[in-house]
Amino acid sequence: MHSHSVRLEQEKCIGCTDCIKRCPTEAIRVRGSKAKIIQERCIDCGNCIRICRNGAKKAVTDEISIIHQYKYRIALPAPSFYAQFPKAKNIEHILGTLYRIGFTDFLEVGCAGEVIAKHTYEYVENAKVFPVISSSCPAIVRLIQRRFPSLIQHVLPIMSPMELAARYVKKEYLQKGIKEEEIGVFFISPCPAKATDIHRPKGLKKSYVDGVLSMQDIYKSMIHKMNHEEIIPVKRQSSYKGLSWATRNGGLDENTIKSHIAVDGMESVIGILEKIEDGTLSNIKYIEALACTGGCLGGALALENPFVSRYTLKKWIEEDIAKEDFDNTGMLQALSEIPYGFEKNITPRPVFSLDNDMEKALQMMESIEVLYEALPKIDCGSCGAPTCRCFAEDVVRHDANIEECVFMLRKKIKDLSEVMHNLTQTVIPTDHNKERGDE
Amino acid sequence: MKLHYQVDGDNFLVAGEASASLKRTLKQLGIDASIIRKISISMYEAEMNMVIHAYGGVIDVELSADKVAIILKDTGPGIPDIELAMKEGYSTATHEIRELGFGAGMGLPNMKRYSDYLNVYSEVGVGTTVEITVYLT
Ligand SMILES: Nc1ncnc2c1ncn2[C@@H]1O[C@H](COP(=O)(O)OP(=O)(O)OP(=O)(O)O)[C@@H](O)[C@H]1O
Ligand code: SF4
Ligand SMILES: [Mg+2]
Repeated sequence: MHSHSVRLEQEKCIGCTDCIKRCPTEAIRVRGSKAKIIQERCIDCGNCIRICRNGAKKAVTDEISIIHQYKYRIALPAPSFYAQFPKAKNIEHILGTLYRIGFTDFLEVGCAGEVIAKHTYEYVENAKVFPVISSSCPAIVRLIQRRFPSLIQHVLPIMSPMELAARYVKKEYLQKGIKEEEIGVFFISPCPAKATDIHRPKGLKKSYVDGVLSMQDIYKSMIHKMNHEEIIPVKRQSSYKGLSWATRNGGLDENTIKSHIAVDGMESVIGILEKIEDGTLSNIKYIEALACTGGCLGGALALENPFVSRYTLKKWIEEDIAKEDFDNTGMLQALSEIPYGFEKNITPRPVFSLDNDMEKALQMMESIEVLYEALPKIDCGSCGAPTCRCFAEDVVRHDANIEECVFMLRKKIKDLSEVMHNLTQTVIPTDHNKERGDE
Repeated sequence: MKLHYQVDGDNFLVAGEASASLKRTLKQLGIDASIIRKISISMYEAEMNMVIHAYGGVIDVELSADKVAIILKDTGPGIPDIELAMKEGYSTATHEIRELGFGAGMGLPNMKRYSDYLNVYSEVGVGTTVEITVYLT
């Protein structure tokens, strides 16, 4: 069973400090010249994948070949996926090509997004705790569990468009009399976080998605098949509203939820979550928070630059708006009938807590403070921890030795050599002295 | 355990840093999230008041197994009428400060609401001392 979808490729890692510095949960250390991910801290945001210049961090997704374990193979493409093909004639062109790589059907996640946006609007209207924080980015939900457990009650208890889409597909196929084991539903993912999410779904008892395929892998197998003579005709299901889900505001424009904030990029999201904790954003009703800069368009498995992607999507959104005869109300109606609420609570994962016993934790904290004062506070990273503070914590938790800090080591050597030097100065009775003494 | 923070009076960029640092410490101590929230909100408001209305100051925190006691001391202008300052909506914040999103006159009322014990001692021209205590059990 998968626990995390970000893995290290040992042989490529050169033990630099790039990734440890950029991890939002201080989940990486360099030990013995290799990065090591502390599993319970990792939120699968993919920051380290993006930052590593040696490609030593990898997102683990399913192999495309797994789709052939099923007779019916349904792809769930999200708007962020369309944006990887700026040269495609239109979205139909992309969707049609899915058949050429082995899928038998698809459901546009965008239309599930439209329905989720509607449910979200209703929930926020009747909410009691503000601001409500969107739950569509699994990396953010995991971040909240670990770094901001007090904000769990703010998390929108509504499933992601991906899950709603999968549930709808399964229901439709089962109703046609098809056996469950013959139906395979696959999400084409922009990130490792979504891959983890189907193995350990948040707020849901189980995921209805059978596999998560990397957007990069699908892109690579599709790109050669894009310039086929004839385009396979397909019927669109999502309107422009579903596409705008990916262009930052989660499909919620100012006309639906008043006073909401859309924030993207890990550091900016953390800044906003800190503010919510300090109680300074209670006048805001809804916060759409996405871990990646540019939202899912900037996912770690996206190939195209997120700003180019936004342009591409905007262009298609305009084309979709112009389509007067398009009507997906039947589809939206059918999707609205699927239960969409969380089935279980999201639990806190206070991975930073020093000890369950408060007295013990206090003692450890005091030791950390004392040690930290002795450190040079320059966060050089050569000890393998992202900051001096973090290193002090590791030492007190017995996860690191004080000598791993080069400054502490140097000091120790200096102290030792002073002791040795002093030793050389001490007058040791010589034979000569002895003789004299004997006299 | 004791913690000490120096709060810079004219630097809005780092304002709130002491509260953020204490929050981090409290999380590591495994203190209940709802209690951390009470402490964070009260201390943040008090720290901001020190930056906005006084010229910064010092914060001393005493952490023990049953409570967190915070003392914020400044040598600012002082509060002439504490009872009035405690009223919701009362603020002497300037237009510029309001532009920055402060000055709703909710800081002191929120401190009262979220802390278990609040004492404001002030002398005009001398300074203000705010004591906040939140019980952990
Ligand atoms: N440390 C202080 N020194 C001097 N005056 C203070 C201090 N703290 C509060 N005051 C006075 O008390 C008033 C009310 O404080 P309070 O924190 O309730 O509101 P505010 O700071 O004006 O606005 P808000 O906290 O909502 O941004 C302030 O406007 C100020 O006149
Ligand atoms: S913003 Fe989107 S792509 Fe990035 S981690 Fe969240 S869900 Fe994945
Ligand atoms: Mg105030």
